[in-house]
Amino acid sequence: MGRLVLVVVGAMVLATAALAASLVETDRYGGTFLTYAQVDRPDGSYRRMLTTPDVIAAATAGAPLPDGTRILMETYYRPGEISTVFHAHKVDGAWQYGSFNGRRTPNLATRPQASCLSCHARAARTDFTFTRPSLDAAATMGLSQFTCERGGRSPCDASVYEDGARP
Amino acid sequence: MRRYAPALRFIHWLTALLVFVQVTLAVLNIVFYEPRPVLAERLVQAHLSLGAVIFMVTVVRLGVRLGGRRPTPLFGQGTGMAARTVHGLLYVCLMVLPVSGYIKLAALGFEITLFGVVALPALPVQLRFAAAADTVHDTAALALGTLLVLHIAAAFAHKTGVWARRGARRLTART
Repeated sequence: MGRLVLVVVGAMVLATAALAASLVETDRYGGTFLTYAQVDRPDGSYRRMLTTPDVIAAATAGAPLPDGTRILMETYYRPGEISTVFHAHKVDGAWQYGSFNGRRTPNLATRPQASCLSCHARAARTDFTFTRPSLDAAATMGLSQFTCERGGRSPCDASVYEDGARP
Repeated sequence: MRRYAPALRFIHWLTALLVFVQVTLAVLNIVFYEPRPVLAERLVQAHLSLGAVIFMVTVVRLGVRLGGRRPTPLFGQGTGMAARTVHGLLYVCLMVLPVSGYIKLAALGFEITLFGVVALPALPVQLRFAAAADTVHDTAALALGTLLVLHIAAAFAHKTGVWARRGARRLTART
């Protein structure tokens, strides 16, 4: 019986590791980043959310992400063509935001930015991060891909990000 | 007394202009934050500074209004009551919007510097109040929009009433 439990737990650990490994990896931002979510829009644009493997491993639903967490949001207005890349960095429990363009030229310095904070305030329940449910699910379920039906660039309601994180 | 005092009329139209610019700045942030993040941040900074100006203008306006006389209502008691309610709620929105915006950003640890010069003091507000302040800000903005529609519609009705009475008086004078 004990051996059976061990086998089941081992299989679950391996399956989790395999799913985490299935997340698309990139090193174009000076370190390893994994894509944990893709949010499509009705106009054909989409946003890809990336973070580092240690954050995916540490993410626990309901608990704040650790200090030092970095999340990137790549914006695509045409398939395969990266426009602005946003950078969220957690410092002393608070989020700082910055951005750079597709050629990695910085445009907005990473610090508390009112234009970002004013919108992220409504995602307080999920650590001020809209796609946090997808990040929490990434280690066990792999990439989340879903559509935010709202036109333009406003974030969708929280329920869209919660439902989108489910397999 | 038929009209508001010139100072109040000036403040009224100044507020109308400031609110129009303020709404435009908020909408432009949504349009520009992705393709032009630096411009979007400048627009939001202007939104914050203008919010403080609107707050101060509203305080001055309330002072002037409470100290002076108001014109006699043209219509019946019910309409007068409705007008007073809408005006009162408009004042509430004009005060609540800047204050809730300030609390929201203060809770998130953002230090507001008006016009890049005057730093507002940090408030001892916990992070968990940011979402509540955000809800208040959004709700007040929605309420302001609704009240403005009522206010503008009532202003047109009022003007139409004034013109109709003038026309009737002229007609009576001729006959």
